[in-house]
Amino acid sequence: MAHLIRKGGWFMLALIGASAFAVIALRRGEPIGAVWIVIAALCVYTIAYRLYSRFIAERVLRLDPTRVTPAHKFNDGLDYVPTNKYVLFGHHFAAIAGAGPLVGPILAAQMGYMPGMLWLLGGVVFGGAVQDFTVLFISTRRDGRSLGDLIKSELGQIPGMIALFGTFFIMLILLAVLALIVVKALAESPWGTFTVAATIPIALFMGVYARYFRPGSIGEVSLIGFILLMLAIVGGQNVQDIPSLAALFTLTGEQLTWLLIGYGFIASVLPVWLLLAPRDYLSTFLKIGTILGLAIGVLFISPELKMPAFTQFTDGSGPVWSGSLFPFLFITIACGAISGFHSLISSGTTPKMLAQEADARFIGYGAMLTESFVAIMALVAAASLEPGVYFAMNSPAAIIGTTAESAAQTISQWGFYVTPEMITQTAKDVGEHSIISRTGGAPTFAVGMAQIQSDVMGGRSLMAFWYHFAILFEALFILTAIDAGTRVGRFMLQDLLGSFIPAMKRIDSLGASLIATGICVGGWGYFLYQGVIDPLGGINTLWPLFGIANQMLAGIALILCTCVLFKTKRGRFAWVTIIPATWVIVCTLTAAWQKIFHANPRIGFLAHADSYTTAIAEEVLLAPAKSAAQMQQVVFNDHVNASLTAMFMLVLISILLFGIRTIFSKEK
Amino acid sequence: MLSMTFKKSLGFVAQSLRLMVGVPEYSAYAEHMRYRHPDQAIMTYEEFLMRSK
Repeated sequence: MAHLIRKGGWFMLALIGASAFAVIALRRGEPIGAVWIVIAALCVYTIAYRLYSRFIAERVLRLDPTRVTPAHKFNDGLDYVPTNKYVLFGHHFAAIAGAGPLVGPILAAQMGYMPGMLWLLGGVVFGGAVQDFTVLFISTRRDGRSLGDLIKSELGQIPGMIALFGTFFIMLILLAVLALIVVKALAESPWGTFTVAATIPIALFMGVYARYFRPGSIGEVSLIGFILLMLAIVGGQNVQDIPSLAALFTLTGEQLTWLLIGYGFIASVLPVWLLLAPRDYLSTFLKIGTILGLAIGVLFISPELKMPAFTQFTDGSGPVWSGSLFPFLFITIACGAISGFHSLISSGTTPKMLAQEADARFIGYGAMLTESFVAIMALVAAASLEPGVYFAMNSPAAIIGTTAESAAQTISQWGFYVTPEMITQTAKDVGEHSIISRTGGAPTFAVGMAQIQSDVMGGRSLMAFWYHFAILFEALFILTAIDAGTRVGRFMLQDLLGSFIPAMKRIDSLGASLIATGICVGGWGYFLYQGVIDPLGGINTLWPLFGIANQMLAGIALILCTCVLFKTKRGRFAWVTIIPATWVIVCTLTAAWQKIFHANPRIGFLAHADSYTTAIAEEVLLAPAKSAAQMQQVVFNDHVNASLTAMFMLVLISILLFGIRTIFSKEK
Repeated sequence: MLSMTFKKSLGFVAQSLRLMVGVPEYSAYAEHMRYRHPDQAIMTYEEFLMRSK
């Protein structure tokens, strides 16, 4: 009987999920409530967790609850500590949930909410969650070793080096894109710039306080920091109203770029306790708070999705990013569907704290489903905006111009109703001078969240507060990622260069670490600067590069998983990782090929370079270049981007070949 | 009885929050040292925090 009830329950759940999908599918042409999407997603996640993750746990990986995990084997009370399943879930989730799940789905909304939603659901169930789970399992069975080490020991020394090399460049692109999002959100915005700038002295104060006055009082210091942050948001409005102060904090994109580069260098050589750790406290608590707040808002308000299910931009002519649905949707949304970066976390601290092997299913598969849910909510926030406003915020100035009139006119021609008043009113509501061409996802997410939150409490009067709260949250988070990422990049570089120049390997040497940090900051700074001066807004160029890089890392991780499955006599079930591996490899290689060779200059780097070369020969100046030298620079940048993309392809293809070799040499 | 459960779950929440920001659990370390290495000196909470950064 109990069995029957359990079976019946799952049947009901499937039925509810199917009805939610039916509502979404049948209500074409009229707006639907976000709650239907939330229900459909939750049903998919529950069923996938119950059935597919169980199949992987019991049949494919054959988790053994009695096996001793590294946390017990090497227990030192410090790094290797057996940890409660739910506590570790929180740790793992906080580590994987970054800015990615909030940005990708917002950019993808230009094709309508449906393509993004379907990829988020399908991708996570069969790709992302499988990757996170399997890598966690493999790393746990091999003493909690890192992805690079695993590739070295399973595939060989050379593929290990290639993977490390590739990961370093992936890191540079990631940091450049994150920094670009901050620049795009803060340019010409004194309120936002002041608030974010204020976080630096706040964090320094917290760092000194927690080290010298009240050591270890993390809760207390976080609370003080939080109150100071809220004061900074409120104070930002006053800064904006006082002309002399406002002028001080009104910075152009280029000025912000140089400030960020300088900041990145200094922050990543300062001691961790002084700046990185205290800011990490704030950003983590804000992150969890924002996600919870958004979830409550979406569930209670159930905002209407005003974006159509599909727009005409599925053909690849969209203003936010160029390229057709296949393959570009699948690299635009990475985190939330499948993200290679998680494989670094799953083979980082988490396997060292796993109390028993059976927990890997809940933590590896479950945390990724939760992240996918965050991405779904970000998609809802973007799709609940008036589509005209969405396109005004996300289209580059080169397409829609710089005034509300020109933007409204262009966007209306695309068939999305919008008036200049709507655009200026939205800007006024959120306390900004202009919302036109605020690309990068963060401002759009902030406006969407501000609308939802102000419906929950505060009404229109609090909208500006919520907007700057969301901007602060993303910027704070990204600053932490930039300085942590620069540190990681520096260690990677020292490790890599150390193989050739032994003196570079010395982590305690000031000279070696300053050189390595300088190369790292210079690397991402170059791509950042290039993105900031790009007339198409930079996101257009850099986000696909980031997506390609990140998905390639997922491809590498899945190739490793497949090799291990074959080597450990699990080959019969290797399709579990072969299917997602094939999909990400096909998508990334196609996308990379198109980024290099596509005839449309908005997509292909070489075609773009050609259009500038032709213009140079005809002595015509193309915006934004103001001189022939700058034209040359654009051509040079295109060639750098094309070479980098080609290098990514080579890295992936060589790892694939090494993987196939490993599998066949074991089969014999 | 109820307050014990409450205290325990509060402890889990505190540990979760600390772990999320990358601060390991001191009680787990202290307990481990007492059981496994009773002969060695245990770091104080302050020393433990300095070390983990």
